[in-house]
Amino acid sequence: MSVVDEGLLQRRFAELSGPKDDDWQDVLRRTRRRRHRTAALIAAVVVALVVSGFAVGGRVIGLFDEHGKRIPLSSLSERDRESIVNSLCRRLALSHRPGKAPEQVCLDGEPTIEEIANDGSTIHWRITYPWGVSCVASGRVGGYHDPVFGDHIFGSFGCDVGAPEEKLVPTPKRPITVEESIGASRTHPRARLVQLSGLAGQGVASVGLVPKTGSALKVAVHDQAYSFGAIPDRDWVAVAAFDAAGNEVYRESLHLEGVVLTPSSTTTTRVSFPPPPPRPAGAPFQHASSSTATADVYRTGMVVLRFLSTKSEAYQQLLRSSRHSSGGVGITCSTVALGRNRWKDLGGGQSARLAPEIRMRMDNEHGGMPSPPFDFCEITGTYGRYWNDEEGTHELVEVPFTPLAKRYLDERATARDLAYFVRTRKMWRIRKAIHRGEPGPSAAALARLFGDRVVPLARREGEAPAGKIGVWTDRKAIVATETTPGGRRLFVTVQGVLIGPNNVRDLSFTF
Amino acid sequence: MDERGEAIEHLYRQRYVHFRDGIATITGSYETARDVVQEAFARALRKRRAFRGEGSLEAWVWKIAVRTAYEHRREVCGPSLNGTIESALVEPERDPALVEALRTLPVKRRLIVFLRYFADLSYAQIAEVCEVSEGTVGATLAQARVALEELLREEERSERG
Repeated sequence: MSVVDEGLLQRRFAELSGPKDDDWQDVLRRTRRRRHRTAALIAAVVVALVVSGFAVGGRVIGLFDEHGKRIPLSSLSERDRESIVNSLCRRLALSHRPGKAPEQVCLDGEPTIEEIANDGSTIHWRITYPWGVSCVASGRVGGYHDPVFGDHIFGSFGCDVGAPEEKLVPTPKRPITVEESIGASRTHPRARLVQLSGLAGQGVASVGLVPKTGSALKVAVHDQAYSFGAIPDRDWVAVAAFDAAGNEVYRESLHLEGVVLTPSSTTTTRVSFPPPPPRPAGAPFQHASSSTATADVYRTGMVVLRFLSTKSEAYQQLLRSSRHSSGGVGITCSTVALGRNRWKDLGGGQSARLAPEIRMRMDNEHGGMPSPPFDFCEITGTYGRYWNDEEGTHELVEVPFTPLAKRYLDERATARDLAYFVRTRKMWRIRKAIHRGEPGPSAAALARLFGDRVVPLARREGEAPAGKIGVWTDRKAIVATETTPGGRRLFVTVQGVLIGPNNVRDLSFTF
Repeated sequence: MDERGEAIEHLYRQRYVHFRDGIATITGSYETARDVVQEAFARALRKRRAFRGEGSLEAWVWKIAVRTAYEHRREVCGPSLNGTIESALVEPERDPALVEALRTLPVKRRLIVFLRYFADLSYAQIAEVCEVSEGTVGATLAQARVALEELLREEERSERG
């Protein structure tokens, strides 16, 4: 046998693995930090534009003048409407109009959208909400095509709420803003400036990095913004603003001297959950129980989930999986609607420490969350998501308050089963082969490959027996179908590496 | 979180160590690799709607992670190293023979070897991440195995002898 076979190399590399230091909560925090920064930056841009006007394609447009071309909300795609409606509304609901697919609606009123600039490549819109918030969105001309989640036109979106107190806009006293990134490594622990950018107020023509000795490294201001590209490693001490004549009009220190970053600065941070709110007095507004837990919902938005037993398999499994997330689990409460065979759900939630009784308040301070009454609440852990695995496709704790929610949870579980099936490694190998132009296996061969949960179907529209996945194929397309406990036929069409016609996209993520 | 976010979270939970170890061969330390991987998954979460499902989710996240690692290297080492960044085992003293064997491989092949054996990626995924054909990956790994074989055989002989 060859000394260097695959297994031997894999084992040798595995022995060199470093310490286990994963932290999903840290990933989420980074995501939120960035979102917050983006919101703050765009908020800053909004305010800056109010002062200075908006130069697009050579024209200067007063951003908040009455020049915008009104865009009817009905002309937007479903995805765009939801992103506009969802993001800031404090009283969100689902519409239940007979004969129509359900939609998210904002009970606080609808925003007005105006196209305020179009330079041929990028469109900018102003969005005004009836409760006084203004937002600016932009996107490329022609919009974006997304076969999975639907087409959309808004590429970025920011509002004049969020962080104006952070003073990220230029002011007469501080005519530039400074966003800096510093870096270091174990071998070069001294902090060095990696990136510098910001906004510049009127009258600032260039911004410069000032070294300890020597002249400043300058970049020009363009459209009220500046950005340094590659920054040479020097002893930068300050950033300065210059007018058109080259006179320095402002300077602020960078405070980099003597700063040393050590690897310990990037060690894992543990998540601390706030103590649960006190149990509310009085009777709950909603109450339901499942085989694993009971749920009480109060009018204030307080949710109390109580496990029937901490010895239950569900609790023990959540306990195991919560160890990967600092003891936390996800609590979500949702409303659902069904119309024209389309589901729509509106859910919100947060993380909490796993305990026999979990109390949390659905915080809707910034909008975008549903309000009671809910259709169901659930607890999600971090367990596996493989097709046909022992975890199944229901969440470990699902407490429906309504028959519609029970049906939704059953159909979602069935849809997930199909979604996980079409994304299995085995199926991906087949899909890639079909994508390359090779004929796929027959339905019978597919069924043999996946075992007794998969059965071949003779017709494209055929139905699978209960608990089974039926497959039909013409060697180019594969249709996988499964019947929900309520008797609805769900199906996914796989066309090589792409997902074709299906009726599961409201319930699961297929790719 | 939506299903796409859940899939990314699941990938993180299942494969974090592979990502961290693979990226450490670019960044040179586990600490920095951790930071890069955390940032890469945060980026993947933010951009998850851009994933069109035209390849595997894991390969898509790996691409982001490798790009983030290279960005980090460029930030720390300066732009002149762009394109010639070397990858290597983080703690060479833990397997000197393997390090010696890897050192004989061209720089560009080493990343493919690391992605295969450290990160446990399939040929197709490596091809997607490195933007080369699967054939190139297969040929590179075959050549790498031949190159490694003699050195490791020597080590085996000396251990027996």
